[in-house]
Amino acid sequence: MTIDLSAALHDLVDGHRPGGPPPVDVPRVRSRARRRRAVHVGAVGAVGVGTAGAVAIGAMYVTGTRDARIVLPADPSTAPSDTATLDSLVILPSDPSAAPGECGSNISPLLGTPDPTLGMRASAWSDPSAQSGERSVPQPRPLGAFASSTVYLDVVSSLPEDGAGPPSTELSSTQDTLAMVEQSYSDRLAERDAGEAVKQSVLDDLAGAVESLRTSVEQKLAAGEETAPPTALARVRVLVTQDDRVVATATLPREGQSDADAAWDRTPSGLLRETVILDLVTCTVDGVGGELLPTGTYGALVVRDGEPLTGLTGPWTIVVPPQVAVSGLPGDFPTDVVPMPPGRLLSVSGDAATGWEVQISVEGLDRLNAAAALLTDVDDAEEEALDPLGATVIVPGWSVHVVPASADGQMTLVYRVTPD
Amino acid sequence: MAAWEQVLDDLVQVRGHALARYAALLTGSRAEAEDLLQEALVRCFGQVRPLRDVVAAETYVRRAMLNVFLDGHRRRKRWTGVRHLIARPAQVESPEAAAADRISVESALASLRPRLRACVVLRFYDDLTVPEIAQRLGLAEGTVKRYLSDAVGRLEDVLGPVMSSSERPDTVDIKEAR
Repeated sequence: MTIDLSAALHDLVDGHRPGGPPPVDVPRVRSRARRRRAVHVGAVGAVGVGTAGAVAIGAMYVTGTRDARIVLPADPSTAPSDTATLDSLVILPSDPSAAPGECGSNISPLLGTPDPTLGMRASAWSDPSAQSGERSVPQPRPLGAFASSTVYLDVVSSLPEDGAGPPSTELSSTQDTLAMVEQSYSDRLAERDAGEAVKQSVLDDLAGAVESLRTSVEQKLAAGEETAPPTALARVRVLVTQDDRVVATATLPREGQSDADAAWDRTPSGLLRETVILDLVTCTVDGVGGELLPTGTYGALVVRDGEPLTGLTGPWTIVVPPQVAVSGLPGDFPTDVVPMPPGRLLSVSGDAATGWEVQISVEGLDRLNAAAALLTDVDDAEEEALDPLGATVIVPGWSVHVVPASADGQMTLVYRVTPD
Repeated sequence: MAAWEQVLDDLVQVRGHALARYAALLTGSRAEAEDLLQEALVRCFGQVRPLRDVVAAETYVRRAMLNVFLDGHRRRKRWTGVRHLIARPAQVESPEAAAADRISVESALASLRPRLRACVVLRFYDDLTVPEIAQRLGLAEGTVKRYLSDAVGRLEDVLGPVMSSSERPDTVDIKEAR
């Protein structure tokens, strides 16, 4: 018997009658998509307010890439006399008197028996290749290098009670999104009132989103929908260390995050997962801190909040790559409206009349998001598309399409910059 | 309800199971397929640019699933752990032949390396040409031809002779693949 492969595959995929429960949790997908959209809407154009854990919305884009607000040192291969680095300006926290686990403290005396029920992995937000289908709690391992100053980590638990309680409802997820967007709108207004440059289009987008979400909430309430009742959720702490000293921290759920929003995802494998937003900035000792972590390799450890720190599990390692600006681009390349994350120029071709194709090496699993965040921060930029395959952003005078790639074992970004 | 939410609802209601089965062709595991589908849906509907058309959205979601799947398998090569479990089934001639084909093809696909599996799905389900597959996967056309040839060979080892009813110009047909 000969099998018709095309027919067999079409039969496999399409040869069934629709029926049964949907294969995915649609309200959960909708809720996650709403939050993701809200992050985009709320963060475009906002720069400089990325306080760790203060506001969930826009954390990735508000803080942007590590070079979004600073002047990077030049590539030493093209400017060998420039030996200054940002890293030399940063003092990592150290506080021998700090309580165990607090900023600057030494955790080496605490390390005991790791908790096998808790683990971490890079989230798909930061590592587009991350797979969420693991069947066991992730073990400590290198997570890779990240080009952004914010890393999204998925905390994974094998204890069902960590996510006890009912799942979020349509209403509660909408209310959460509304709260995030309202907070972002309020922040942007405060920035504008303080004299900072805030695009009117950003304010308009946020105002529209708030109005739409409020209407949606009112309609759901009028229809008698109920919000999710309060539920007990596990909270976890993530400590970032270097040489066993705590240099950065994060807590999940974040301050002010509602329980409905913080409800852990239940995966088909039975594991629970929730995302920690980890800012790669130094924690504060005696008013000193908040600086971008210098180049190096750091350890990340996790523990349930309130449990003994001897249960700290890890470290998963995170690499902060060198911060060297791309140099060597042609003089007429539009660098003012096509900013790039730290990296090294590999090739460039084209001209101002027909456009350019540029390939740079960028160390960072999240290099596409980092590149897209920089582009959308350009005045009057409009994001056309952002998905795992690439990003297209229209900046004044140019259409920029950027895709992640690799060359000779290096992580790269390929830019196609064409006249708009 | 926003327009994109309606599209999401319609897509899951009408094509959700088909998308999950498509994902299962790639993953070889239905549980993993649901995770893959969920992640792809969040990514596609979580972007600013709205998806307003169910048909376009389905194509977009399939592309996202493929990309996430391939990237993930660059590091994880778990297929090696189960490949030896796949045995060539006895050939069946019965009224249930189509159902048997379905099961055996699914099993045989699961025995392939992820990139080969992706090539087979793109070629024989999505009906893409070799150049289109090469572009989608970021591979040279020659590599795609080799992958397809290897994949068909391995499938025939398990399934016996295979053919395709949807040959197109500039594609590798079954005979050429062999």
